[in-house]
Amino acid sequence: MYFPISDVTANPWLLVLVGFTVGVCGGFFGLGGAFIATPALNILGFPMAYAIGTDLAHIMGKSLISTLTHRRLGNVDLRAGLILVAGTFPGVEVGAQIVMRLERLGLEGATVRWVYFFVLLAMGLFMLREYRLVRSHLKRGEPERAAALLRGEGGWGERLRRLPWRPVVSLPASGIQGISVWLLLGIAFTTGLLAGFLGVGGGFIRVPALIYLAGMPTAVAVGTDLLEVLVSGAYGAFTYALKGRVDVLAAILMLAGGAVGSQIGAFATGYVQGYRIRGYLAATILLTALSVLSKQLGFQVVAYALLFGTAVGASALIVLALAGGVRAARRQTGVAAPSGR
Amino acid sequence: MEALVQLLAIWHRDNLTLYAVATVLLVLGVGVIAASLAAGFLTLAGVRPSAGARACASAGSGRTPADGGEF
Repeated sequence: MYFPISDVTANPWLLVLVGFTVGVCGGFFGLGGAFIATPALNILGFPMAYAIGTDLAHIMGKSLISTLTHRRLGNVDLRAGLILVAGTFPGVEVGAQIVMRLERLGLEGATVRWVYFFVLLAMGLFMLREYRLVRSHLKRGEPERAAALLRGEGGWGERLRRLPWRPVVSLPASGIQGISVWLLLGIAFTTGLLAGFLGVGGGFIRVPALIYLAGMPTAVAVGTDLLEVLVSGAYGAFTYALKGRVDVLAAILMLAGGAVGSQIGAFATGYVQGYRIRGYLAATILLTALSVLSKQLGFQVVAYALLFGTAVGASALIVLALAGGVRAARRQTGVAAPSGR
Repeated sequence: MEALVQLLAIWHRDNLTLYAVATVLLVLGVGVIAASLAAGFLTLAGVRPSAGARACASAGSGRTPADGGEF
């Protein structure tokens, strides 16, 4: 199919498939999915600037769908989301400025990839360790200890949340009685800085930060992050479109797949327990880290294979988890009711 | 459909501001319609939020009383 705006010929079904895969992962993990979709568009023949702009437009539409679905499920903390948006944009700008400085020194490529790799590795290992600890507590019949671990009781995240930095807000949608606005702004600024530095949306950094530092339940962290992805995606899509670097037809085709995929991902959070979502996210983050390392070491094909394999594998796992949850709920009650919430 | 693509291609060539506004509105519009269609399809397939989840959401807690839906 010929795309007159970008002057590219590409298979439309592959665009729908990419949209679907990224949509499932995005709706389930609270990610924009740019780290998968942008290289995919580039491989399909779109020049890099068009790949980024078109992906941003598709992320905007897909995040709207996921946010609306998560809102229906009670997973969006609007108050927290608006505070986070205020802190993210300055962070992204500072991160981008650091990259500009590094670019002038000719150091940006390798530096960004190594930082990316170590951030992903540290986060993935931390989440995987926690997932295994929670599972072992549950297997030993100690749900209280597992719950305390998930709430971060006694950890440094909890100590941060107790600091009385005024103003303090309550977040009823997250079940948080009082949290400093400065802590939320700090999380948003830091994760925004990392996102701007690494050139990604930042969902895979923000979701763990909201869970461990702000103390949000997993599903609410996912839904609230998607609200932020929507705002940043809309801003990015508009600025790229102003420069003529968005192929709206390709974006709509990806959105067609993403619409179904993101609904499946968002609904799946209702059927999969929160600690398992963290486990899936940990595995996805670790495999992405491996892909970044492969690229840094010059194994381009391995890097792309790992990236797309992870995305397709994670989507298949999420679809299967949803199907299993629906079947189990039907067996138990005769209707489809999420068991995880 | 073909006419719309041609119109967008003309705006992309002659008036990028108009093209940017049309892009954002079109993608958001398609997103809302697609969300409704996909949600309807999934509801028909038997996938829907439970009464319990809705009650929690409307009470503003966003989580089940026991463990926040974590396990």
